[in-house]
Amino acid sequence: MNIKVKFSVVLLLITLCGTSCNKYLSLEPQDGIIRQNFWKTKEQLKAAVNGCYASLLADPLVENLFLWGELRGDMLSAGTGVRNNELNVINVNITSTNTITDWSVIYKTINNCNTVIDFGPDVLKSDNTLTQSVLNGYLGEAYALRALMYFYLARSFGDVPLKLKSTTSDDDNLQIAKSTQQQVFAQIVADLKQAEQFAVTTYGDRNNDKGRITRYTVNAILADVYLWLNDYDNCIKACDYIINSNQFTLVPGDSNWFSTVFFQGNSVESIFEVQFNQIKTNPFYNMLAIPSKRFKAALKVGPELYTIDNLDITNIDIRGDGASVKFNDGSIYKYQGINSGSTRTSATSFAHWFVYRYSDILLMKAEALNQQGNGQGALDIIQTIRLRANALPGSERILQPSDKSGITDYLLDERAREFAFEGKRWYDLLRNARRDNYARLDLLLNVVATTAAAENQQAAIVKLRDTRSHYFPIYLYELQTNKALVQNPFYQ
Amino acid sequence: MKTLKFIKWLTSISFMVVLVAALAGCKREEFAVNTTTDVNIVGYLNNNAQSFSLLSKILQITGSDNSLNGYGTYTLFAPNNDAITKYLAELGKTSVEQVPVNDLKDLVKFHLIRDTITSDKFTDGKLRTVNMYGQSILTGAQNIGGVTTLTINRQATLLKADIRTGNGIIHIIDRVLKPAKLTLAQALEQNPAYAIFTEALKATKLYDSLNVLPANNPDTTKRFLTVLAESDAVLKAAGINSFAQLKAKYSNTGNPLLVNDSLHLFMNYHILPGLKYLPDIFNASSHTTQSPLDVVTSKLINQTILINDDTFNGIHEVGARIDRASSDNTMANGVLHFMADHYAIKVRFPIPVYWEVTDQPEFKKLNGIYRVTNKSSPNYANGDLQDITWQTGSVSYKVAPEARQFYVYNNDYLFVAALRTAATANSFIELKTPLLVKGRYKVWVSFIRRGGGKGVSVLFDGQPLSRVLNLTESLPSQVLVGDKWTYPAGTSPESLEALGKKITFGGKVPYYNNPAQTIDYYKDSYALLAGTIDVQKTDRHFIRFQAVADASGDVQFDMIHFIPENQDQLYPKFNPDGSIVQKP
Repeated sequence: MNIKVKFSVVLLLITLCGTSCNKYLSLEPQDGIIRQNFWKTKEQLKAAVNGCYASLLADPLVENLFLWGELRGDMLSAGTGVRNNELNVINVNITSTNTITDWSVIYKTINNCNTVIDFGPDVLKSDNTLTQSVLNGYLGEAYALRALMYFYLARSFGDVPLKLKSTTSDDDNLQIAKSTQQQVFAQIVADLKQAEQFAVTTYGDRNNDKGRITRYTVNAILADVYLWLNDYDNCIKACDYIINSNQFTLVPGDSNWFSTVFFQGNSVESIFEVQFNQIKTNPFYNMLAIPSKRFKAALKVGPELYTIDNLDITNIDIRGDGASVKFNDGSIYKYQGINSGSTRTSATSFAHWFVYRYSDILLMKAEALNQQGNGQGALDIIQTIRLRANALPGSERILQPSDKSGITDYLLDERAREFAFEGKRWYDLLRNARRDNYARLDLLLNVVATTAAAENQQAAIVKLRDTRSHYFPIYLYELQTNKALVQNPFYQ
Repeated sequence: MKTLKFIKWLTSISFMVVLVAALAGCKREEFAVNTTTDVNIVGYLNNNAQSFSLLSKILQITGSDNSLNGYGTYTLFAPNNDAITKYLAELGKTSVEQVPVNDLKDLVKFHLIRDTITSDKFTDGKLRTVNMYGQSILTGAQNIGGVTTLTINRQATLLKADIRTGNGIIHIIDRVLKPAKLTLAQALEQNPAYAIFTEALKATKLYDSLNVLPANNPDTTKRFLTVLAESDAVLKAAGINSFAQLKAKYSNTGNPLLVNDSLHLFMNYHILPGLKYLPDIFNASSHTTQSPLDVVTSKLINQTILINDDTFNGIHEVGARIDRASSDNTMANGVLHFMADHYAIKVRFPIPVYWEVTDQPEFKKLNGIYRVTNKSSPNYANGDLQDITWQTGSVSYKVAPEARQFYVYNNDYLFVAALRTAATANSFIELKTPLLVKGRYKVWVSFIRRGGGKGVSVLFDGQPLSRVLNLTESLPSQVLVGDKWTYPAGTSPESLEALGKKITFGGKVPYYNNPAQTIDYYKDSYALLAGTIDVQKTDRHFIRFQAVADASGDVQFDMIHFIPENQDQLYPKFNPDGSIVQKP
């Protein structure tokens, strides 16, 4: 080998060594940002928290909340575009292959919140302009949002896996077994208590106050959770915190009421709304507005729920015709209407998803009062809600304050009128049915007797007598990927 | 030298290549011969031998294992080993080999359906396809101590549903399903609570027709029958304590063997042709019976199934309940249901039916629209209304405005956008009538004259009536006599009737242009005689308006009158304010 060759070999080696340090051998992505470079400034923290809210807009999260809350209630009837999976839920014919039971989109939001909770505190070290109280505010939002998501899961599925750490590396254990509904509720309460300490009372402007978690939102969720846990003292305490803050009031029931509360949104009676917008419209246009709509209002909603004044047909419950529904064609109008006459187009279908409104707080308090034996207090609140809405005499019930069961029925009807199609009906029925060891199971059985298809009716009733059927099965895909999960007993 | 070295080097390389090729060539290439690794039904049972070894053995003995391991779409209700062990114990056998092969073949056939039916298709009644034995399998649910399980054929509990295999679906059950062996007649005879009913069956000789196994029945239309049986207790509640009393009450000739004896008819009225499980009964509104000219009507109200719950001539007749819990019993030759109330053939005489065609359940629910002045329903598409069908386009319900141009009952009418023969337009509309008692009727169609419907043929249950209607013609104009608008000279109600026309309103109806005046004749709202019909069965029937000429414009129907042919055809009159004027 001559010197020339030796020289070439040395040159090659040098070249190789030199280039090996170059970027193209680096493992970091060229077109993204990795965690180690992210949690550095308070702006990044803010972006991450906004991401949690943005994930609420992701399909099919709100669609799922609507379906979970309404399909098994008695306010919907199937339209021509209804899907098989939806009919199966209405007929209590639910199997683990039913895509409606896919909870993955909820856990995505939970993971976003977990990420903020895990890495948010680190920002304090790298950004001196971030104060502890601002950080706490962000953490409070994440805790509350996570609690809200688990609250939906625990009410829909019963026992669910509690994932409280973010999924950030391949070493994470994703094979998590279910926690019991009790454990999940305990975690929800703990998260909310934490959030209550951290969350702010205002962000300084209306849209942020209604679109982000405030201390009032936290208390609204807490009141709802306590009502589920039959902890009436704490429920009333949480409601009173909101009532006594004087930050909220019922929007007057005049001709602008519908437009103010539902078309414009973020009204003074709103507590928390998922903010759809021009860029991300809600799922309801294709669901409820087009000719081949998936759902219409149940027939009984007009004549039996809101009723009609036959002597003066212009005298209406403001929540009924032209607000929640259109009586003439039975379409669900709450997410379509601009006012009683004009409707949104598909491009402007961005009515918010109303998670909590002030009237909800009042009626939750009424439910707690009634359970404590203060029937008169409950009736007074119902009367307040009815007066605002110009509820018709046909839907009024004359009840003795001691008639606890009667007031429960009245409250449920009033909630149905007030929160029609806001994804609350099934949870309202189930919450009241399961109280005192399912003393009011009849509430659920009566529903399915009218909603299930005639040839499924008997089996549906018998299935609902088994209280384990009140919770969804775990979706098949989750069972296949997470071997630690066990199918809910009713569906085994 | 250099060349030699090169050749040496080339040789060694070639040797290496040949060696590698030779080694590789000795190895067999593994090709995938299956498109999937999913097992078939037999494969699944073999893989789970701890639960299904006995079933696998039965399949082998009967030779079914080959077909169940091949291509196909099956649903198998698979009894596990416990189930088959219990079944053997009942037979007093210790192994499946001791059971006759034909019995095992029946057993396999009974558990097998040539269809893929997942558990979300299970309803309160039978599955959509019969099993290979030829009987329907029933599904249902039961709740014991707060735990709900699905039941199969009321004999077994579903342990695990929807196991998907390559050629079908397996549902695991905890008991062997057994075919019904008893006939309807035998089942009733063995039940002491049905002594009177059975005695009546025997007295009418209907017992024998209910005692024929399907395979032995020469009359293919009567192989399967459905019986609505009344127990002694039900009859007793209706005041019938013995067969003698039943016979005294119903037998008009004293000889129940006669086909036209009314006890014979009464018993036949409780037998429906065909297999009718409860959902089949309440999903159709009426059913023919073995009593030749009589039907039973049925409906589901909340959870109660009612037989003959009808509104007739404005009076609601309370129906008889079916005992849901004990009904739906599969027998070898049909289905047996038990009544909770007594029912019998109603003797009815033809009465006129003045049918307001807007009297439809969907319209009545239109709060704030139904019979409210100047309101109209949304446009319905075909399929939206349960009792009205049409070809295409829209139909709606309308109430006339205050300043009306026409005089129709209750001010409302059925609006049909088109009724013409043009290819793309709507060419027919069909309505389900109210209950009509068997008899002969004249049919009058009351309408508002519009542009559409130049030639309309009316069909009753598919049979065309004698006249083709022209709904676009005006009568001669009304004239003012005093302060009353009335018939022009040369016309009278009677002369119109002779032409097959009549005015359907009357009395003192205010004239729309001047309320101080009244009107009893109007050129553009009247009724046309379509013809005479012969109603064979007391039931709801279909009346169809079929376009036979082309004219654009809409058609507006007000009423249809079915008036027995020997009765007065002109009265009563039906007014816009809802009042009815009887013959003076």
